[in-house]
Amino acid sequence: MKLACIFIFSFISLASAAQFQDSTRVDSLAAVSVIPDTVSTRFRLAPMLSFDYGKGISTLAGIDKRYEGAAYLLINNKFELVGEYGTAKLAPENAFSNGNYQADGTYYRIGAGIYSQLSPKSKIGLGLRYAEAAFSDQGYIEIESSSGLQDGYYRPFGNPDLQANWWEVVLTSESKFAFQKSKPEAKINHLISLGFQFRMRFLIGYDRQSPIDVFAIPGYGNTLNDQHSAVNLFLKFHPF
Amino acid sequence: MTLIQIKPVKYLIIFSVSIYLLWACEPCADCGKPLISEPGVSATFINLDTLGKVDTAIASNAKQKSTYATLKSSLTARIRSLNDSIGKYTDSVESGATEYELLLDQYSASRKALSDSSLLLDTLSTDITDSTTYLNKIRTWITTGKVRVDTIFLIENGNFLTFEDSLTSYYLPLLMEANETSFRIKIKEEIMNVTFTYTTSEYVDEVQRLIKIRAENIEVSSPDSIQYFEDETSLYFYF
Repeated sequence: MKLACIFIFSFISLASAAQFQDSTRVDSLAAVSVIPDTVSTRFRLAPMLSFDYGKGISTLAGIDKRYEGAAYLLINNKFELVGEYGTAKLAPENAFSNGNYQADGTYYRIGAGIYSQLSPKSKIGLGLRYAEAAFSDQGYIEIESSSGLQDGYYRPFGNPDLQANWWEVVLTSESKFAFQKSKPEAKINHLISLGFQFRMRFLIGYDRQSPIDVFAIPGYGNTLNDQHSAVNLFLKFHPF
Repeated sequence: MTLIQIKPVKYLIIFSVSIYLLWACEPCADCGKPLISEPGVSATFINLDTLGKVDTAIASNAKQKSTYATLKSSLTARIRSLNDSIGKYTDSVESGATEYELLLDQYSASRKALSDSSLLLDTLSTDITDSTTYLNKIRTWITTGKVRVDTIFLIENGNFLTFEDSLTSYYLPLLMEANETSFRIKIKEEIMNVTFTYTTSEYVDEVQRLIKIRAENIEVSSPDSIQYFEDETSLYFYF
């Protein structure tokens, strides 16, 4: 519920951001004829980097500890090859009602995608990723004696060297920021874009444990379902 | 630089504040709260000795009531016979045969004595019925196992429980970090020693997301040669 609310607020915030962008619509439209069209008929490679600021904010807020970044190779402004890498230290509150659970590890995703230019500033994309995570988990369980005849039961547990993999279908929407409205052709106006990715994750498998199974996989989510949806908010840098 | 520089910052502020507010709205007071439960055995104690005494008393009452019924029947017949005789001699006396007056008085006195006896038998029979009803109630209590256990003493660690009220079932908790638990149970003058051997395993209740411990392969033994019977839910001890 909490995450769902966060997603809703994210979209509201994105809508707000879009409105901010719309406030510059006149200037941007005026800039259409000035900003050179990035679509070119000749073969062109453009490396890019992105940072998931949604995870950065939740980390700063102390909600959890997650970082994620990605490197892209854009081909002819149409196709992309992607490599994503992230770290996460998850402490899901709903893991166990009478215990504590933490999963800590790294993950990577590799894949490709295709883009469609909606306007000189905005584009949407569809991509596919293969992901793997290497992580460990740990926690404890606690059972008190209802009769009071014995001491409570407390047992820490942990599993090192866990692995998981999954597929993701990624829908991306991003828009470039025009930092200098007065000079639409300025390079700085092509330096950064803001966007979000809607992801559908399909779990392939993970190292199952017994009796207390893995509950959370960094980069994927909880193991209660074999499918998950997720939203990433990213800031993308176009250095070249 | 223009005003648009501030706008992404505004967006980030809105998003951050939203997350903070959402988190503040849902405090997690119960997170990680320990499960207050433990594996155990539900035990019912049936007092066979008292049950036997109650059954004997009920049978005695039934026999007594039958005797009273026979006696009452005999008295009723005798009273009816006396009524016939009294009617006949009353007619004779009224016709002038005064020599029967003494006999008539004796018959009347006898009828009154018999009638009083019959009423007494009715009272006794009602008392017997009330007594049997009460004994049957006690019998029901005993057969359902409603009994007050004085103490349940856990031998391994010396902890014990005491009870103020009668219950039909008592929960005997099994040690979570052992495979054997022994109890000394005191009910009035009766003392029972019972030992459970078992294996434990953890499991996750997927609905409640609770990690629990279950006891399996439970074996019961007692040095006191206590009779017991077990079904799927309870263990019945007879003492």
